[in-house]
Amino acid sequence: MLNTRPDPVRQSLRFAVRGRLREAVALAPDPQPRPAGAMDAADETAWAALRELGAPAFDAPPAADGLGLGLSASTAVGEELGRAALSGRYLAVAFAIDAAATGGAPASLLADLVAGEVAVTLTGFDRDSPPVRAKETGDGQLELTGRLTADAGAGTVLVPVELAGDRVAATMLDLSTVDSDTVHVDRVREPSGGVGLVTLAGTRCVESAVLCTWNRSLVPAGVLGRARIRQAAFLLGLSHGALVVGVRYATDRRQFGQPLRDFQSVAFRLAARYTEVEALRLAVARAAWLADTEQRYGRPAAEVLAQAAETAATTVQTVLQVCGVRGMTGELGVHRHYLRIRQEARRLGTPGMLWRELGLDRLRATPHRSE
Amino acid sequence: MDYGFSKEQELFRQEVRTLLADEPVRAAIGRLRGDDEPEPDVRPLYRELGRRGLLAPNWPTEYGGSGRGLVEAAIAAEELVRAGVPDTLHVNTIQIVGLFILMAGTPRQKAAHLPALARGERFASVLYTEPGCGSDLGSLATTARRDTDGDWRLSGVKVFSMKTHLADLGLCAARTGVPDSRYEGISLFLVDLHAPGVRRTLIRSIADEQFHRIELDDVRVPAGDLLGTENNGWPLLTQSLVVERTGLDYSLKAEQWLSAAGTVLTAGTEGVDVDDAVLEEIGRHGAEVAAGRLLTWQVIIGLAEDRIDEPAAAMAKLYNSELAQRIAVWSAARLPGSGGQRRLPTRAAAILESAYREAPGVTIAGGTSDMMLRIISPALDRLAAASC
Repeated sequence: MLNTRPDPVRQSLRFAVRGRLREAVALAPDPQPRPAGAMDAADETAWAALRELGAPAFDAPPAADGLGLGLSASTAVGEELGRAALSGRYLAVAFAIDAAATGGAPASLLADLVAGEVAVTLTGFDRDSPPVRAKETGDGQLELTGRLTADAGAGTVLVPVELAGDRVAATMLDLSTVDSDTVHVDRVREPSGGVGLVTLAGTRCVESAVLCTWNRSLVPAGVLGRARIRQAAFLLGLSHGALVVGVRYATDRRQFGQPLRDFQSVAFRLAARYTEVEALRLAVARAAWLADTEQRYGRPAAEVLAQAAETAATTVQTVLQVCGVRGMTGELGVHRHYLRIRQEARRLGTPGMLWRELGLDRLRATPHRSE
Repeated sequence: MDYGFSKEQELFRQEVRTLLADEPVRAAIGRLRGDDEPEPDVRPLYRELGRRGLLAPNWPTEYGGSGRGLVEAAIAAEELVRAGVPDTLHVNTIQIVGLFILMAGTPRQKAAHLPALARGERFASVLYTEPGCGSDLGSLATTARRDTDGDWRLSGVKVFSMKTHLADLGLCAARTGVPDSRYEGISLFLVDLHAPGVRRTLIRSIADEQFHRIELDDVRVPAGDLLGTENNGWPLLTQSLVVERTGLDYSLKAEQWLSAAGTVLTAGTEGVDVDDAVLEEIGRHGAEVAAGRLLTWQVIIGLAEDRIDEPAAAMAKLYNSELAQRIAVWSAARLPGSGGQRRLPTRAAAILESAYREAPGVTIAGGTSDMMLRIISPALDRLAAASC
């Protein structure tokens, strides 16, 4: 029976995570020039808190010592991280766990991932096609060639690699241990906020670095589809967190003798954003529910990710305008949402790329009628 | 948390589809499509639907329904629109006036009016708006005074009602208090639109569905046709506005118009030959239609469980009506016109052509977008509170 209210278990888990993240938020530094994507003290504290809470195990399968709570649990964690504008490392680890479990990776690797021992960064998933190609060397290794943008300080990356026959491999590479002659990292400031342009020129890796593979297709379900839903939840959290800052500021701040919220020009803009965030909240929850109940979720996964990226951008822009110049300082904390969105809105595909994918999928499914 | 319908609800949806596939129903829909009139008479189709119990399945059996729930009523409404049934008369007659009588009517009023409405034999219209008042109903000027027999005499002018040329019954708001009594002096009446003193004229509109002007010249309304109690119309009115506002009709318009756009874009081609900008909008609108439907169903489920959430209902109306309007306007600007290389599918092209002319009204009717934002704004507090 249709019921859009969150279940009590998910709510308890959400509040537990929120409580543990408070300490991390308090450590968030003031705005200062630093590499985008780098983990700061707040991010490290948050990650430690999540490990202590056993969060990487929430969505991991029981066979890998996980709790098997599904996307309904990991999306709640993602949403809370987004609300607090903290790093999405948890989502990358959840992706890696999912990929490793799906592809039958060694138990030791899975155990390390579930224990939070491997800090993973996602990269290269923001393109229409994988940025790295693989060639089999015949001695049980792969040779990788391509260019991708990495976060500052990224060590272990999970990257999509193109194999023969339109197959894609989620491949885990530790950039600090691969042959340095075949990897070149340029520190650049590129528009998405990434700071490292990584060039792989025949970089070798063992085949076991491939966690799982899938066929390239429109609106994929599977590991990538589930990662899209988690990322959408993270972006939903960023929208939600920013909006709350805006509402509180507009309630407390007085101008012309009254709270900002008493001006319709302010209240209506916030109300419009609230409506969009609420629609997104339901859509993300439904997508997670579809995946957890093993129904078709490829299209909803792509939809919620693209919608979440655009909603986050619009929401934080509105809030920054409402907050005035204070939004750009460390006073309200919403600058962190703004900066975080830049990278996270494209982490698993730009909205434009996803919308085109969805448009094509939808039109191909349209019955051809002459009348 | 559960985003699916129960097995029984899915079976009911299937049952509705089967009934809508009956030959007499399909023939009646076909006749409407073949009619050159922009606003053909839908009453014969509604009689077919009424005979099959498809108009008001949630009403009690003694009043012409089949005693099902609100969720089943919404499922039926979805399927009616998807089958091509024009919904304005259903919204006005069943979802607004009928629901109002069900909520606030006396047993005699229910028995007198509801069965015929449920059977599709009589139809109703809403008479709220006046030349001098739209969103601000507290300023309405139509008066109702008691005559020597204890009945009521209504005088005034109502405007912009729809399908009123087909209606038999009007739900009319009139002032029974002193002229400046605002909300305290409003009462509601069930007005026989065939009664002496009722004059209906057309107000031309750009949309297919025309507006009507209803002049009430000392129209006699029997004492028993006062709905609720005297001077107590405003609380009923606000309550019914909340209950009838689910965004369902706008959600269905958005879905139907996007589907027509898809048909126009793919007609006569083997693959998909569409530029990237159009593809992106198809993808975006599709996601928004899915999300808008969730907002609507959240409200419907709440109502079915006796939870009234006015801001959530306003969100559903705002989101879906704005979306439907965007799709209609975008389709007109970006989709191939009839002068192109391909022959456009007649039905889908006609839907979109009509949608463009209807679109300005969807964010005005049933509460303007500005009024919806006004209702949503105070709920920002609960957003902030829930984040502690």
